[in-house]
Amino acid sequence: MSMETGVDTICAISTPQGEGGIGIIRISGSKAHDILKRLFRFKRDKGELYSHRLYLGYIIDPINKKEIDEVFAVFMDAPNTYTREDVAEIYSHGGLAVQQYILSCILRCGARLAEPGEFTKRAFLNGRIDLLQAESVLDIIQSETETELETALSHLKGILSQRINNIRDRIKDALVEIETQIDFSDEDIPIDLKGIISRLKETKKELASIIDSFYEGRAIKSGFEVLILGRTNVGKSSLLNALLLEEKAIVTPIPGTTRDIIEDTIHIKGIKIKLIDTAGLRRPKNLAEDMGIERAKKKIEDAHVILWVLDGSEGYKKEDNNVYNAIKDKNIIAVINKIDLPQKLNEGPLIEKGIKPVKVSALKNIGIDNIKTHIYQNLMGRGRKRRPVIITNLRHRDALVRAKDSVEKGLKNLIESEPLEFVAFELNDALYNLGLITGETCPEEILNTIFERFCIGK
Amino acid sequence: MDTFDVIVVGAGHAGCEAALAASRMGAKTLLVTINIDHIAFMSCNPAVGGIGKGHLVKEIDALDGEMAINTDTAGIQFRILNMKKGPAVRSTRIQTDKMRYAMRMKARLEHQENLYIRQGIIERLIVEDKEVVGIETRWGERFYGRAIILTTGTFLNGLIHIGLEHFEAGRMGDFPSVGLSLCLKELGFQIGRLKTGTCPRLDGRTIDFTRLEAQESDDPPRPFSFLTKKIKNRLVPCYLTYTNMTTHEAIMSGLDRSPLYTGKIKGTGVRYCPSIEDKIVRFRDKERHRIFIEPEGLDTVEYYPNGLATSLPLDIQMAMLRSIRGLENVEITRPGYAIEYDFVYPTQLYPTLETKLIKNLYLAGQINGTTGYEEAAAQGLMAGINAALRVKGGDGFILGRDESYIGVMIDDLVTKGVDEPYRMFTSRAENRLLLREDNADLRLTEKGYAIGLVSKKRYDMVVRKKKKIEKTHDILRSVKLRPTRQTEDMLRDMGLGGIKNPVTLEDLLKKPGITIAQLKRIEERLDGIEEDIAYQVELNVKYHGYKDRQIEMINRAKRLEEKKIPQDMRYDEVSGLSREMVEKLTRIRPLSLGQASRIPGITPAAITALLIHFKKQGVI
Repeated sequence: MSMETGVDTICAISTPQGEGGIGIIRISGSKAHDILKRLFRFKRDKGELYSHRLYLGYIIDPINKKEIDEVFAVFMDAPNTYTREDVAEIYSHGGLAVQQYILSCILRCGARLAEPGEFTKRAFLNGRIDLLQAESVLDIIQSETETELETALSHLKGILSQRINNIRDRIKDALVEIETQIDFSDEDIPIDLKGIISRLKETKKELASIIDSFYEGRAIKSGFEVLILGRTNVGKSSLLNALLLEEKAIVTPIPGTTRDIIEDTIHIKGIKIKLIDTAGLRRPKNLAEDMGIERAKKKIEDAHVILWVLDGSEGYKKEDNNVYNAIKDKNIIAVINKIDLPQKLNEGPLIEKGIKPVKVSALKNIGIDNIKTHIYQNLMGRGRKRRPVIITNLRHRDALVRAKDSVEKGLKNLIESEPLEFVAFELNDALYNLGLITGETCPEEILNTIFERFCIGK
Repeated sequence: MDTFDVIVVGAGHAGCEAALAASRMGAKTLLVTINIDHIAFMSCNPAVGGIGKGHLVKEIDALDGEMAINTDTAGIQFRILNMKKGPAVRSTRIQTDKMRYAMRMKARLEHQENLYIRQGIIERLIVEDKEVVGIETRWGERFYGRAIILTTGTFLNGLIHIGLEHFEAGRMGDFPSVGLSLCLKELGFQIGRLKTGTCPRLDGRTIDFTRLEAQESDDPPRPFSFLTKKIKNRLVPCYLTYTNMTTHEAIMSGLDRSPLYTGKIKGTGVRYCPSIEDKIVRFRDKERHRIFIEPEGLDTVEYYPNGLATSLPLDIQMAMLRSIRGLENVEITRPGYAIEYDFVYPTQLYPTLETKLIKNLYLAGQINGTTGYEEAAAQGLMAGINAALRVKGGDGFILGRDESYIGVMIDDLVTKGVDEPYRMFTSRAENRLLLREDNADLRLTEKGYAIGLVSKKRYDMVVRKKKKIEKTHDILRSVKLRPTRQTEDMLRDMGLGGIKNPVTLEDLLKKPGITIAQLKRIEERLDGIEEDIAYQVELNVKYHGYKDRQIEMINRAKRLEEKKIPQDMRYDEVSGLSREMVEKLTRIRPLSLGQASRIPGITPAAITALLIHFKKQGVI
């Protein structure tokens, strides 16, 4: 029945642990059919498990012959399965206890418990999915937001693989023409140098655009950093709390209470946002706060967006301007807090700077959603279409950057009429690096790293 | 009954190198050939080298093989191809006087100590318990040897086609070897059939050379061998002409009598070196094809019209030739023909060229599915070395893909196999940048010396060369120019701008267009440097960035190369391998994970599975 020889059979509960409606138990390997056949009793007497068909029935304890649960079960013949091995799946009613009971019966029939990520690993090893898709599975398993899931899913569908393969094909075509000039130079075969140059330029652009998506992709995976900043006691912690809707920071009216950076994550329309509250940018009175400020300065560098908080109930102070000077080159959203109090803030300095502030009261929870909208639009662009392909993985980015460098150098060589063998060298190097992403080139250290990830993953 | 250490069957370009290498390494060697008068005969074009092939010849020379020196001695037109395409793809091609080539090689063999020559048609191998122990000729003579090398070329079941006529022959004018092929089949070898072809030869007295474009030799001529000091022969030109639409029509009109297009020929031809009828049929839009008219020697009027290999009937051959400019009144001295012959699928070999099936049996040249004198000679050399090492009790001599074209070729053959005749190309060598013709000696000679193959004389020469190169680098690094008036003037003379900070001569040499010759006026110690030393140093300095990157690539690949696979490996015990992969790996039995990764159909994922398996087993 199985295509494989010498492959043991693995099983696992494939749905998240906890109370769900239905739990899926998956079995993969040469014994999948026999195990299911032993444990499954058809509701209506059929006796035969045809491949890729869903049957209603019961799982029976093979020892005491008692019904454990009413289930749907399916057997799938290799190779048209997730792992390209024989696969059986049992859809049982929820309840961890029931699922574990069924699992223990399967184990007794000669399967072993799958290691984390092992089904995907087998799918990869059997050539069912490429490296990029295998990594995407991990991303899906670990994804927390909708956007992240979407990115991971598109990778799994192979969109990035396909785009990279297209680029590889184009580079290969150019390489073929160049190698022809080298290895068949006595055959007087014409070469279209201009055409090659323009096609390589296109390729370079395409690579650059995929690389650019890394910034976005990275943020989607690990979250955009939004820094809350302002002089002392303008209500930064209250604002953080209002955004988090829970008491996390210590809120007191005494200046300088927030000693260190406090951060938490929220999701705005499927985007992960890391909100970071800092100690005010102010001359410290004591050492403990000094440390907080140093770290805040570092955070300014890394932040995607800075919420610059001002106190509406007070005038525009020199300290406010000091804060502005520290962040003026960054991506700012000005927030005037405490609009529930009598307003004394002169908005002139903001208007001069071309800043249109958002007005809120953190305490009374007024205008908080408005901030969220501003953050979203600021990050994703107003009505901006999201890129179709996004890379989120540093390994992919590195390989793409190196591939782009090589294409660029190859182009330069070509344009400057350097010997063709160096052009060929660069293009080969680019192909190598692109192959690293889809797994066509396989130095073991990369594969090892990836499989280390698999083990700590699922 | 005679007993030898090594017996070589066949005295073509593979057989000659094999016999010389083995006997030079001290093995008592017998060379058996069907026709002693045709030793080292150039059955096809009278030239050695070409792009990628030239690299092989230089490597043969670096390992004290004979092809390079022999070509230099017989050379009558010398050219370096790809001059502008980069130092690593520059390739030497030398037209030879084919009779001088054959005569000198024969003389060389006859004067070799430990080497014996016999004429005979080998009918079968004497095999005892999966181990070859000798050979038997058609007339019952038996020779016993501890290692046997087969270099049968096109002779194995050879069948010549001219038009719809065909007859058995090893080549035009020689007997074929029929029994041996049958014997190999009986021993269990998988045998395939290939086809190659050659051009008609022309009577030079009937060629109008005034209507042809002459292509002169390079001046000065650059020899193949690192040992050759001077080219003594008179140099003669080749001539250039083209086919035209009338030629193409003549060819098309004869296709109904072409053995190729009527299905008479079953063997697979050389895609890279097709017959003229093939070219016309496949590229109908091309209006003309280039033809080189090459002299067959200094003492003959025969010419070889390179580019016109054909198996069309004789009347068509004549019609197409006479339609070509300059050949309007040409006479054919010998017709072009195609030849089909048997070969042994080379995945049945170890990288030492020993067969996996029969111990002590080695194969080299066209029998392994290659085409070309150079490819054959390189394999012959390696088979000769390995057979001699087997007799002496040494380890196999295997060259890496990262150090030689020979290594690339043999690894390709035994790992990927062939389904059409295999020809060397520079693009087959992934580490091409480091594998130049000019550094073949630096790459290989010491290795050859270590196994008792290369002479002391050549070895000393390479050691001296290496020292001189190092010394020159030292000078370039140690001499510094300071920004003075005097320096400035000097640099301006060399076409360079001024400098602000002190620079070394090495820095100067990195600049485009600057050569060591120019630096001699700055540093007199550079004055005595020979041209070949200067060339090496210039390339090292100018392309050091590429060199470093290439070395990095090699190191990357090396990690897999260094992971050896035990030969009793049970692939069916590895989880994650498909049955097809298990079958392939079991058949090819790769020596390392690197070799395994190059087997077609073995995916990176499969290599991962193997790695995981080995780690679990604690093998690696």
